[in-house]
Amino acid sequence: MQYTGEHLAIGNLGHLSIVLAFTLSILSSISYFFATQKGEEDTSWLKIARISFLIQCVAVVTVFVSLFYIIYHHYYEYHYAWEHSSNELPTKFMISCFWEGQEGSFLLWIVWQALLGALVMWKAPKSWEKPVMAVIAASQVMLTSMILGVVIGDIKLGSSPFTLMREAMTDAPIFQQAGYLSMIKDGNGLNPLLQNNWMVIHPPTLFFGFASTLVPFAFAIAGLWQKRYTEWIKPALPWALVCLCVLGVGIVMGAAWAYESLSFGGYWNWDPVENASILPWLIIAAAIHAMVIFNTTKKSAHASAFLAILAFLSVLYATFLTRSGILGDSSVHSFTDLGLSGQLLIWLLFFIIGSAILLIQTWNKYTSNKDADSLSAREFWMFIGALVLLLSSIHIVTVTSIPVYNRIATWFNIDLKMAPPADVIQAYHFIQIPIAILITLGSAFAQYLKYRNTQSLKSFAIKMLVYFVISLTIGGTLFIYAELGKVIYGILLVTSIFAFLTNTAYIFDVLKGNMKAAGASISHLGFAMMLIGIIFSSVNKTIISNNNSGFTLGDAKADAENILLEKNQPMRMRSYIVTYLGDSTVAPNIFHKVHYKKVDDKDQVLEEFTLIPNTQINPKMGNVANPDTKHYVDHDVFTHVTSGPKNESSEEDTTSLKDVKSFWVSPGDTLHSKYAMLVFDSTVNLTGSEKNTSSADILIGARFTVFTNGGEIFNVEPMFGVKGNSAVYFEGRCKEAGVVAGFLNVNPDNHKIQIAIGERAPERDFIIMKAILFPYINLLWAGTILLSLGTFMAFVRRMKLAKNEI
Amino acid sequence: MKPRYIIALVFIAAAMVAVFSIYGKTSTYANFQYCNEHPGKEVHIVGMQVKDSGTYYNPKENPNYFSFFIKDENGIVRKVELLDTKPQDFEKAERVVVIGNLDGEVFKASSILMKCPSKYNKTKV
Repeated sequence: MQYTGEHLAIGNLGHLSIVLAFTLSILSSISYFFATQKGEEDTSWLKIARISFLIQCVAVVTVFVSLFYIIYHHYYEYHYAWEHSSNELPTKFMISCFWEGQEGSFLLWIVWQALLGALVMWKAPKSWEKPVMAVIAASQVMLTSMILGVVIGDIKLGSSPFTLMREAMTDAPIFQQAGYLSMIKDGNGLNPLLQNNWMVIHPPTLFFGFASTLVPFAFAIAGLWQKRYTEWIKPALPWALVCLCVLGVGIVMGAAWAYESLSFGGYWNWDPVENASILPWLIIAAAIHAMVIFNTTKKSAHASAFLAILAFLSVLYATFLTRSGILGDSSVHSFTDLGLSGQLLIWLLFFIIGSAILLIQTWNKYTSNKDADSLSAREFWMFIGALVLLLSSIHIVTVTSIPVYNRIATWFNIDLKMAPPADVIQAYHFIQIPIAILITLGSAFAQYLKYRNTQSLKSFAIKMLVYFVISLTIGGTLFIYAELGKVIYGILLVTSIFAFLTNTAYIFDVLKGNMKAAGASISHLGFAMMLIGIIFSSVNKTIISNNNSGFTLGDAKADAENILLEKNQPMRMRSYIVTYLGDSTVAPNIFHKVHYKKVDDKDQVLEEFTLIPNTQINPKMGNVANPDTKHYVDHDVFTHVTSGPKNESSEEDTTSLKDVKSFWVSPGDTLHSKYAMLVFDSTVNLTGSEKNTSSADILIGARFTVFTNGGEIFNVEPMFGVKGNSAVYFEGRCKEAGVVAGFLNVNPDNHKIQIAIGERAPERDFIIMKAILFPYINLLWAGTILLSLGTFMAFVRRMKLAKNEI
Repeated sequence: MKPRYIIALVFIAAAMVAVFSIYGKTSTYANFQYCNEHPGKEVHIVGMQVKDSGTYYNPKENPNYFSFFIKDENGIVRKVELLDTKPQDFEKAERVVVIGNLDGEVFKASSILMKCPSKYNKTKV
């Protein structure tokens, strides 16, 4: 059949570019391999390798641009555009469509990897280009194969983002018609949760971080392969630092997104997808410590290789976890399964087994250092630091992989039925908090030790003791004052303050303000500050919207996080008086205005602000609630509306007003109902007004002012009209006063009108909301900024050092 | 003994603790019969929402109480109580995972995971 209206050229270009990129990656990898094997005398293999890699870069950028073009022009003949975008989507969020789907996020990763590869080709020392690029191109083969979209026999190789709707849904009857496209007017749309500014920049940053783990990995593999077992470390170190820096920023952006737009009220939930991002961060941080040790002492080269390789493998494993569908029920935001799990697993095993063979073969090539380990040497404690970071990642991967154990058990016909911990937070914290204590403790004193051996141990001990006593005093006081409760939080607080103090002092005391060398100190003090922020904002996080109405709810009371707030009825929540002021609608969003007044003990108003959490009405994916947060220097007030009045379809009242009491009234007369008093003001001719929506021949409104027993004033205007030969009635309602008024008749002789009044239980609009105070959360954000800044400074320094060597 | 061997031993021991500590922390995918045999144990139950029995949520009475019925893999139906608001679009969910413990005839859930088959994977135009 000849279909009309399709734009096939752009998709063909995109798909062709994918195939080209895949083929050229293979060619480039093989050519770099032979160029490496041939050594110096070869130039032709190298030429082919370089050119094919560069054309491959152009091809992947073409793929990216083609897909964006399709999304931007709403070409819904393409399944990806239909599934992830829609007509009204703002341009900035069109970029976000790339990471809602698997294919798009692979594509993003591919683009970064291609650019990183080109950068390595250009910037890396020439003696390293061939073997390192052989590995990078091989990884590009892997990634491009994931979006290849080629079917060979029964095997589906990758999933193309350029698949057409009629190819994706071959059974749908709509595709029997040549002009089917004119019937697909709008796409499915982007998940409203992803329509957030953080979601525009978080995924690209994170994927750059993931992609950049490849470079240290490629250097390490090249080092093992080329028997240059230790030389690779120095040129690889700056790349590892870039990776740590960008990955850290990416993770924190994700945390900020979760905090700003998710309902759970927090920034970290130990969800498998979150864990997947922190694993490589921990391992690359461990690798960097080992590499820095090597740079000065020539020790721990073997550990450097192992950790640099492991960091990349952890990214592959995390990719497998989040994209194979194996997590199933245990993650709220893993990708849906595209049937690529087999392909992912093969690649994962290929890289794991390949690396393992190389590592094992070269195991005895690393000469074990015969020097005695000195407990007063800085490298000894740095190495322990690397081990503790590794330990942290081992624990995280063990818990996150629970669904994997179930799957493996099924191969042996065992139904393991192992489920993630019921109390996930506790299951992580009871290991991770002690680990954080060790890390802060180590980062506090290790820098004060000298490499190899510290002569002046006495002055070191005194200095540390002084700082520790100061930290203990401050931390202990804060622990009691802030009522942190558990002793373990107190210990972590003390060690974090200790690390913060010593690392700050180190910049002035030891480095004498030489900021060029202060990268490590700044990142360590940033990390400590981040932990302090985490302690206060999560341990002392206070839910202020819990039930404080006086009547008990039994067990429910402890867990009660949500409160019902009626419109214009102020409610006291701790030191706030909170009032729901009503909604305003800008389709597709409903904005709930929640007014806060902070008051002191005598109810004096200290300050006021209004938060506007919203609900996006989305018939396709379900309504999504977005919280709103008021930020202060020392705390945040988070407000989340779980359901507003307009979320539920309001039930129409069908009781007939004819059965209720009716009265004949003149202007000025008063009527009494159970909950309110109504005063009849006047009648108005509405025949020509816009209220006459049913185009009645005559339409008259009766204006009433309603005074509720609570003292509030509203208006109702029931209407009566004539259309053709019959009368028409329109009720006037006032929910708050529990009044329904009907205008039944007019007596032309005495100008009295007949009014029926129905009584209902008064109803108010209400919202159900949750409000949480996060104290000192800005320490967390500021700490992470310092952490990244410090890492970046270290990168600049190590890059210069690596350059000077060559 | 050199410090590095001590460190290696301590590291291995710590890694074992980290790995095997999950043993006591994990929950179990179970059914209601298992709950009766193991009273008070925290479990995950995968079940189907019993739509005919409806759901109960009356925020005016208590915004932190939501209840519904699920049928487990053996067809046993139990009432589930959640001390929180009703999850968004709960009615659309068919398969539900409830996490908590059975208290008599009532399953006290600490959280609920929903699988909406059509939420992100629409196959109809």
